[in-house]
Amino acid sequence: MKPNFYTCPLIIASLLLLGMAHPKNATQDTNTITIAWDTKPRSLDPRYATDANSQYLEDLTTCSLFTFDANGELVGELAESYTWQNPLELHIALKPNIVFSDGSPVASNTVKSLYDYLSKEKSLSPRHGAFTNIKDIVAPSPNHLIFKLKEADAAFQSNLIVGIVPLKFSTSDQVLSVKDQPPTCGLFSLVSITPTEMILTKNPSYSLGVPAKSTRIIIKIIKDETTAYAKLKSGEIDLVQGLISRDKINAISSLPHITVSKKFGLNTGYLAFNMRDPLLRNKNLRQAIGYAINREAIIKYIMQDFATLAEQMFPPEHKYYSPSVSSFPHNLEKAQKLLAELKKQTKIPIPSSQVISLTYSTTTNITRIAIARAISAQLKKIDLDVKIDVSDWSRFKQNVEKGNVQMWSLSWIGFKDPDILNFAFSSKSFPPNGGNRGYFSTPILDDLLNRGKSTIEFATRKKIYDAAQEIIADEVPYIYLWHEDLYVAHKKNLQGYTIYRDGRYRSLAKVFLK
Amino acid sequence: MIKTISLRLLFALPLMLSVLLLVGSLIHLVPGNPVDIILGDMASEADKIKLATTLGLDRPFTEQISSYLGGVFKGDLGISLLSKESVVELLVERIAPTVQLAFLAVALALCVAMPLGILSATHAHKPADYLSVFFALLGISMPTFWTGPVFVLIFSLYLGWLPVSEKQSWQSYILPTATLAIPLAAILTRVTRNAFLEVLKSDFLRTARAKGLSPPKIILKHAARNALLPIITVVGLQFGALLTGAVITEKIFDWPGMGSLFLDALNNRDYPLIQGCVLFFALSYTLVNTMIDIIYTVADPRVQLK
Repeated sequence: MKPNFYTCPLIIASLLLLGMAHPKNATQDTNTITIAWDTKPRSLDPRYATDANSQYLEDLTTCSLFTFDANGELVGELAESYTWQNPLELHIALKPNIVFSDGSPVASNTVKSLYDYLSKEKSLSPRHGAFTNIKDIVAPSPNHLIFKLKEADAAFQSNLIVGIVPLKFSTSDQVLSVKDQPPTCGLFSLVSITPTEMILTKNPSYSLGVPAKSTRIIIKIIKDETTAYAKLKSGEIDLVQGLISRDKINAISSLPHITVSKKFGLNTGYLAFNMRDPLLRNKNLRQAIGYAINREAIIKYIMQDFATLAEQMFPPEHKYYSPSVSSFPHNLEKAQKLLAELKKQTKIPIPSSQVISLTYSTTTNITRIAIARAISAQLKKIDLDVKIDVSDWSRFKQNVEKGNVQMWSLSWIGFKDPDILNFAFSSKSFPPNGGNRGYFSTPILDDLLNRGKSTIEFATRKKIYDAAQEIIADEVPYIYLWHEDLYVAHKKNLQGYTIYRDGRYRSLAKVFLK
Repeated sequence: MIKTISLRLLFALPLMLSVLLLVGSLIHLVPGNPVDIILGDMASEADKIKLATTLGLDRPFTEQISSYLGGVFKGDLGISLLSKESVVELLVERIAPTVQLAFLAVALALCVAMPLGILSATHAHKPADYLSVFFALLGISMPTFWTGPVFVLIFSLYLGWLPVSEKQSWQSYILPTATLAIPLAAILTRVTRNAFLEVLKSDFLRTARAKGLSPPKIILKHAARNALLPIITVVGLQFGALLTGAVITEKIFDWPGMGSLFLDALNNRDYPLIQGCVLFFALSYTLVNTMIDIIYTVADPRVQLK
């Protein structure tokens, strides 16, 4: 019999029907947790891990001297205790009898070797910059390590979070890969990686605490949030953190087998001003903008209640939060009054129409554009004509750093130490040397920030940063907007997951499926 | 023929070189660079300069491109600036899934479009034709970013028949293949219809009918061969486009293909990887076009390779 034109479609249809044999309700392996990330980590080598997902993976597959707890507080992991002998010498006592998964010891010389590599002048590591302040590292005994610094830096120990790799790897410039099968002192070992999936298995010889409850973690790389949503809904993945947009999270929270929880993260959204701009260098105008913006409305309608009002750089539970510092409440009358005062000043270049025009620069991110539109509409109520200039991230960043913009909104993410204020507001931090992109400069603040950087004792340091925050609040280089929530959606039978404020996945070690 | 093909491939070398130079220089003009991406916002200028030197990005562009081309001629496409993996290995890992998906999509599209297009031509201006035109229009009007999620919604979430995404079992090929095949089948249906309509009016087919040949024989043996050339052209062009990566479909279905690799490389300003991808795209277009020329000669002996 000769085939006719209809043979092909029939074959395809048959194949499709056969394809429907996909088991929908296959029994789930309760020892395996499947989660989703949006990108593959760029590097598996802790010495080269600079992107967020590489560092999340590093946190799961290695151990480090210090780590951060769920609230972002620095805690010892391999370090049992530490003391500042003087502002230039940090002594660290290591936990005894810690071993890699192959049984080799994790001793002070192992740690020294890693930080020697990171701090040496010829280091190829992109993390080298955090360790240029190291003058010398001494390992007087297997459990004792001394870091000698060139300059006092109270935030130094928060840099000692790089994953420890065995001696034979840490001295070489060769970048570690899965093929090297490096032994680990972390909670999990990375056993395989493909463009769409990573598989981690429990390290049974983990000796720094309680070993992981689940034997295997599968991390799927899912770039499309709709796909992540579908996979969570279909039960193909157990947990998604952040990846799914807020509107879909709200939709998925109504599903009977899914739980959604949230916690505000270590991030601060702000509206920044170019302090070199002839109009915006006037404090009255910046304050008027602050009073005119209705942040609560934006949080409710654009952020869909996945954010908390920010009063300052630090969220309320941060140990450097200053209760006496607050941001602007929404007050149109006050804003109008400030503008009226401003218009009386002769030195300000206000057009004859008396309508002040400003440009708000933003990126192509949909949420960022929506926020820009909302702020523009709110400022229109006080007769400020705000145009929105949208550009891709690289061009936007270039324009901001060159001072070619008037105002813009961004977020500081993942900071733990108050030294972030030095990076964002010190006059030494003008681009390209730092993040003071608004070119804000106050000698008193510079002095405070320098003192804060070199003061070790907490109470004194806190007072310094409280004073610094008050100056910042008074000068208004920023209008603090909100702290965005981190949110997670997971199956109801998944127990033990805690959101870490810096977005890490360390609590996967405590997670199990019922 | 071998000589002609070899010459064509040889002539493709300057083309590939030009594409490499063009893309290489354009990507350097775009704001943003890998150093900023690797080090992030908090890095000092000194660190940025040091990393740029380590990566060789401080050298003049001409020096960078000439050393890259030197490596290309030795078969070395360099190392990814971000992952530090060999570009050749990264490409090899991604080419197979892309080629598999492209072949399947074209095959499925042909299986649907050829019978539908012929049916439409043989029943021109009748209900079957209108129905075929309707389906073709529908197929063209449905973009992949819509059909992909809708398929997932129906076949994975609602019916639970197929996996949502990823290249795992053979079932996981069905949805991405269908998503890519639909618009392709729609175009091919229209092309097939028009090509056959033209041929069916020919004198030699009237003679064939007068000789009493059966309609399937007239269509398959006499009409098809003469109508194939435009269809082959479109298939070739579409196949080439699929080889360069179906970015959206790959993203929806987590398909580890060239499209997503290229997009990531672009976003990360990973110059060696971008250039490696571009080289592959230029090479695949050249090969596909040469293949089409060869298939022309098989389909129609009047066509000769010169």
